[in-house]
Parts: sequence; C-alpha cells; structure tokens
Amino acid sequence: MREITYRQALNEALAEELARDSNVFLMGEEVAEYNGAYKVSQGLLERFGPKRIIDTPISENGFAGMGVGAAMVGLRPIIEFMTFSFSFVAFDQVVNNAPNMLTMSGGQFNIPITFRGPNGPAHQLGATHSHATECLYANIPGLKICTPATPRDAKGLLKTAIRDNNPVLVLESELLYSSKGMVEPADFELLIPLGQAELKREGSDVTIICYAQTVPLALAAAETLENDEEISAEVLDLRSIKPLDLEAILKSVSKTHRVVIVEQDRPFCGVGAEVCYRIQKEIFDALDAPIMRVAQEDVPMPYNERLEKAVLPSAEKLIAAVKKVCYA
Amino acid sequence: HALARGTSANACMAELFGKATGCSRGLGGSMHFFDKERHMYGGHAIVGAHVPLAAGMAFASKYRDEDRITLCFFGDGAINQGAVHEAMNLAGLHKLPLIFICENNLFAMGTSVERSTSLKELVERAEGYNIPGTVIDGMNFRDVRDKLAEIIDSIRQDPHPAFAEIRTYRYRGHSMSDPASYRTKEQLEKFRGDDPITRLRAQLTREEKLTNEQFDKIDKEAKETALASVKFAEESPEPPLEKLYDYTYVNGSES
Repeated sequence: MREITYRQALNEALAEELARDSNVFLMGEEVAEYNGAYKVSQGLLERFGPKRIIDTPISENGFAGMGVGAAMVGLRPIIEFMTFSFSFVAFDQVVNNAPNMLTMSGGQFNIPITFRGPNGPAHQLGATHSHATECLYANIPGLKICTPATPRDAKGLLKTAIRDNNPVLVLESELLYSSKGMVEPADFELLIPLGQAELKREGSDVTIICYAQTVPLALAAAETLENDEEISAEVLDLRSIKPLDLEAILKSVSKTHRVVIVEQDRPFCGVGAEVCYRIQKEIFDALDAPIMRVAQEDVPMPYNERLEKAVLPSAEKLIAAVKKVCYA
Repeated sequence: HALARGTSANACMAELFGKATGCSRGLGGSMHFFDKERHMYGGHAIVGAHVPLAAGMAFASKYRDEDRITLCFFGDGAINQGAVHEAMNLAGLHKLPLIFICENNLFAMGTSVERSTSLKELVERAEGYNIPGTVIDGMNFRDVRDKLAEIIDSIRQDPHPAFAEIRTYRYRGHSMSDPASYRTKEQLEKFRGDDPITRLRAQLTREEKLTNEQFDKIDKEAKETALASVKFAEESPEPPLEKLYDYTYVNGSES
C-alpha cells in the first residue's frame, strides 16, 4: 500500500483501463491538451494520443450523445463532465438515450458507457455549479451510480464502472481531489464491485449512513461524538447509490438500532429518503428512534460563504442529529 | 427505414402491436424500431436527440478504421434542435463518415417550415458547419438513389460528413388523431399527383423495363405481405410479464 491522492487514483484507473482495452477512450472538455480541468487526466494525451484522449467543444449534449452512439456499436467511452452540474445540458442523453436503449431495443443494444466528473457542491460556486445530481439520476432505471469517497474507492470503482456493460455514473467530488489515502500498489488490479457499501468505522450506538464528501464529515463527527459524548458511531459509506447495498445497511442498523443519514443532496426526494423508507419497511421493529436525515437546505445554493455553509450538511448538524436519535 | 434495412414486415407489424415477435420484442413500439443484425440502430423518438448518436457511430467507424457510413434520418422539425447543431459541428470537426438526411415534408406535426425555421432552404444549415449540402427531390426515386450514391462515393474516397435535404410530403396526418387541418386540400392533391411510386411506375413502363402487369403483381404482393403481417402480429404472443425486469440492466461486465 502507498499513499496517493484521490485525483491520482482516478488517473491511474483511467490509464490502466485505457492500456488494457483499445475500445476505451476518454472524451470531454479540456481532457486532453489542458490535462483536465481538475487534472484528473494529466498525462493521458501524451501517453495514449489524440485518437483516444479527445478534447470536445463546449457541447455536452453533442459529445455525451456521441458517446452513447459509440457505445451502441461496441466502444467503451468514458465521458467526462467538467462538473455534473453541466450534465443537465446533456440530460436527455444521460436519462433517455443511455439507460433506455436496452429496453427499447428489446435487449439488442446495451450501452457500456461511463459518465464521470465532480458532483455536488464545492466551495462558493453559486447555484448553477453546485448541484448534487445523485438523487435525480438515481430515479432513472437503467443507470448505475457510484460515489467514491476515498482514493482507494475512487480507483476501484472507476475501473469497475469502465468494465461494466451498462451506463455507469461515477460521481466524484471536487473537494476530495486532493485528499490522500492508502491504495494498493500501482500494479495491483483493484476492482471494487458496484453495490457494495463499506464500514468506514465500527461502532455500537448509532449508524451514520453517508457517501461521497459526507464520508470525511461523518468520520470527523464520529470522533467528536466518541470523545465528547461517549457515543460510539458506526460509519457506513454507501459507495454506490444504485445498486444500493441494502444488506449492509440493515446489518448495521440491526446492531445499533439508531440511524442518521447524512447526504450531500437536497432533502426533498433525496437519496436519504429512499434509504430511510427501505430501513423502516424491512426492520421497523429494530429501530429505537425515528430515522434522522441531514441534507442540504432546500434552496438554490447562495454564493455568500456564510450562507453556503448554512445550506450544507456539517459535522455540527450531524452531531446534533445523532444526539437526538440517541436521546442524549 | 427498417423495411429498407431488410427487417421483415412481420417483425415491424408485430412491434406496432407490442408483441414479443416484434423487432424490439414489443418493448420499443412504433417509435423505437431496432434490428441489430441488419444494422438498424433505431427508431428514436425525441426529435433530434438521436443525431449525436449517429455521430458517435460514425466516430466509432473512424476509430476502428472501418469502411462504414452512417445514415441518419430526421425531419424538418429536428433542424432547430440543439442536439442536431451540436452533432453537425462535431461531425464537421472530426470529418466523420456520416450523412445527415433531412426528410423535409414541410410540416413538423402541424407547424410548417415557414413558421419554424429562419432559413429559406434547410440545406443552408450545412454551410454553417462546413458540411457539403445537396437538395434531393424526394418525389423522384432516381434522384434520391443517384444523388445519395454520389454522396456515398465521395465519402468513401475521403471520409467527411454530408447533408442531404430530401424534399417530400406526408399524405396523412402526423398521427392517428391528426385531421391535418393545417394544410390545404390543393397542396395535398398536388403532391399526390406527384407520387414517387406512380412516377417510378410511369418511368419504368415507358422505358419498357417493367410491364404494367408486373407492376400490379408487385403491388398485390406488397398488399398481401402487409395483410399477412397483421395476421402474424395479431396471433403473436405478448411479451412475458415475468421478464419485465430482464432488460433494465445487462448482466456481467467486460472481463
């Protein structure tokens, strides 16, 4: 194991899959000559050439659709959205063409495509650039969605996504690109299955369910809760939103009997709403308290730093919710 | 278009009926015909949204150095969709072997071209993307065949996108519920008088390549094929209910 950044982990995943399969190519805005808006594709143009690392005009609907068409005839495109806020410009391609094709064609055309890029609020980007899109895409049958929180998960999930024969969204986090973590050596084939949550911290009093950039937030809150409140929190990282690892969720909640879901999207029809529904439906009797959710406030993202902070989930809000379900 | 690719009348009609024997197993419907074996890639129903897909297919041909040309059909109503503009720009940029075929039948549902498009002629759109454009008389079989053949030859010599505006007409309403009150009887009759099949028949009989008897026989056979396909569709089974979830995801991954 060695310590690398989340950005480097994604870069390794891309390079390994490009080297492994000539049908794989990367296409998006500034991915080639600029080396990626967030430097995720650094060095790939030099190594793989302009045929496989392709800069596009600012034309999301066009190049996302091109990816779907290329996938229909057997290529394995990786389409980078500079941020998933821009995927809305290509929404029709992502929600209509990619996931519907298999059904509409009676099983003749599967779409082995990966849409990837940063998702969720970063820092003072304002309303149009701060969207957390997971809850919208999770509503669409035919899409798979993963949300890596660590460098190891970023590498393992992206590699798996590229090899999957269905459209997969890899929702990265801008705020995590420079974060570091331990990852297996470069020559190790790291594949993490979609639909497998991971316990990031064991605990006994409450389960905190999180994903993407709420994982480090949950881990920090769990430390504080342990030290200041003597509450032992278990932190379960979903890693994939769809398919959802219900088994892991139920296992943890059956042990702790209390749940707080901390999510980076909005509260109304957010990911937590579905997770909450599934828990109460399956193991209602195991619950010792109502399930709490910590999400964004239900407003367009303000630019002002103080207001933005008030909108976002935070360790303070999470700790308050945990204390509430623990009646502490 | 599916029939032209060789999809059987039975498979087409059964798809219209939503039956398991349809070309999309009854899951696609009238707007979503697919036939992978015969390189029929849809059947797409969000106007213009499939044009980037065609660019992707042409991109794949170039990527794999294959001698294939993608033919992408759309109507005059698609010409103002952003997806079409974006696909034309990308195709021009990458010199993709792709023919944008605009079947201009003068009406997008009930809206005439004059009421929808700022251009005098739709073919002018191609110029903006540095794509050669050709106007074709869609009421003339040979004009369609010859001009498309010329375009295809030139793409085979030097891969590039092309744009063909095929001028045609639709005799019936846009759908079953459309009485087509937005156009005049005179206009309809004018185009009916210019019917491409009638014209082809006249040409071929004049040139003594086909007798009237032979033509009537072809016509009769076509009618019989259509009627037989209706019977086939009626008698075909529904898609099985227990397979409802079988086509949402494909299993497995590329290993």
